[in-house]
Amino acid sequence: MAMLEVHGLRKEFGGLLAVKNLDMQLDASEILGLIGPNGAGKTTVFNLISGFLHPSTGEMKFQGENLIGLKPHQVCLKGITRTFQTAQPFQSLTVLENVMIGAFSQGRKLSLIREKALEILQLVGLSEVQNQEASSIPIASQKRLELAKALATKPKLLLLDEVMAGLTFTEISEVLSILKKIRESRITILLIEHVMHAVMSVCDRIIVLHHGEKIAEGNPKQVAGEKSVIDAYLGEDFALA
Amino acid sequence: MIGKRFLAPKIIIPILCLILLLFVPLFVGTYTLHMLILIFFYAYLGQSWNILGGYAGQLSLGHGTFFGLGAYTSTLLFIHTGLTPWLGIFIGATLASVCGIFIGFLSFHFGLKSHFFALATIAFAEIFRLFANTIQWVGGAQGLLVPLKGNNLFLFQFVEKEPFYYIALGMMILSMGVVYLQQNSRLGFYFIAIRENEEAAKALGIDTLKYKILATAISAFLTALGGTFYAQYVLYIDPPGAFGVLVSVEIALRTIIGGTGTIFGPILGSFVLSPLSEIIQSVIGVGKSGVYMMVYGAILMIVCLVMPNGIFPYVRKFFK
Repeated sequence: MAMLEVHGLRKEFGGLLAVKNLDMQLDASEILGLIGPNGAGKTTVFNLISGFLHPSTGEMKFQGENLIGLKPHQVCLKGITRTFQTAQPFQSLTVLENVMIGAFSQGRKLSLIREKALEILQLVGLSEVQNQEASSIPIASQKRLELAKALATKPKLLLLDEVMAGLTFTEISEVLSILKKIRESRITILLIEHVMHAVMSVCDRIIVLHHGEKIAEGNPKQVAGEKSVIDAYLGEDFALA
Repeated sequence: MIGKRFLAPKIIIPILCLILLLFVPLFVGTYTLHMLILIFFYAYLGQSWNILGGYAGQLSLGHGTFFGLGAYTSTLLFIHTGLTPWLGIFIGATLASVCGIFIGFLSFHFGLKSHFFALATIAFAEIFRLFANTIQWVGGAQGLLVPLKGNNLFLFQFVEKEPFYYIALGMMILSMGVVYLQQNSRLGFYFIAIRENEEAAKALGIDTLKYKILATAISAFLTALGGTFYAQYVLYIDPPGAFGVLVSVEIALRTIIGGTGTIFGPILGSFVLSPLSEIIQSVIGVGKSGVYMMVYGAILMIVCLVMPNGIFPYVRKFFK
């Protein structure tokens, strides 16, 4: 059974059609990439799934349960956690405390939550800065902190919004290896990303959005070869590469 | 944030302070004692406000609502039914809590934030002040005199100041205990998360509406306890003195000056501001109308400009 099923999802902002009758399916333990030019509606899709926005029409089911009408925290407690495109740390708290906030969805006991948070910091490689204020660490680390906070909620499905944007080549490969580790722990990932080589290397499947519409879907190779995708997004250079 | 930072001297110094404070009434005169009672009392109120305004980050400038509900409820029950204020205090606090839940739900459900929330809280306090002002049954504009029955522990009445001193000290410590507990629990973490970034908090599974209302309810409960204490200490309450804007501002001010979202902020703020306002009043004199308020206001503005996060963060840095 599909983990996440989306049918005829549609979102209008006044006269603007941000998402147009989107159908999408995600299987367990899959990494699905959501790509497309700026303004294609990718983040809107995230906002709809995670309950920050409500669709104009459409159906969304997570493990057979309806998602429509749920509030963001309810969606999170069902097992879907999102990150934000621009890192949203709890500024005055330490890195460790930031992750603890996420881990508190698993219980109340401080010592236990602390331990869980420490484990996750280890996984994403932020152990060394655990006692620094979240606002004081560099952007690349803040992006990882986003990932750590989300992981701390023990999601079944992780929605990652451009966690690699603005990172250097080395930093990206570090994040990629973290993503692979996450997949090994059987967490499903839906990924918005502009860094194409990262998307191509880590995703099992890719969906391309353009003007709120799905214009292509398939494995990385198929998608990269499709003419509509090259025209709308990738450009000639990438197709040849 | 986490308990371990308050180790060693940071635990011993407060204990020494406490022992010192316990013996103070033996050595000082009535006026100093009165001063200290006010300091503790405002520190307590500031700490109660701190839970909502400091930790959860929802700026309330209408805590007079809860203060007044506490003061009026226990006093009215005492006058009309003879119920001891020791019980009335909790009935008042419960009522204030319910009122806090109502105000919280109404404001937060419709997404009021920062200054808009502050305006809503002021509006509620003003509604209560006007009600108290016009309804004769609750004393109207003349207010209510608490009938003095002499020294009577059972009725929360004392002729001397010493008992009030210890009660005020106890309340201040109680409020610190409550704040310490929430600071070291999921509740406190959630409050801070909401203050720092509400959208991120939602994404991590926090029911922000619920926790903001909860913070309001706890804060309201504690503030109302202070209201009853005030009524018993002063033995007189009137609408502006219970629900007035000045009351609300005084409650918030100590903490804002001392440092919001910290356990020692309200205490420090009260130890600085309460004597300050007294001293300025005695030096300049209340008679020259308004001059003392202008000086007081100027000092507040300077503190806000020089130390926008309050005094406590600087003190903490100094000791590090």
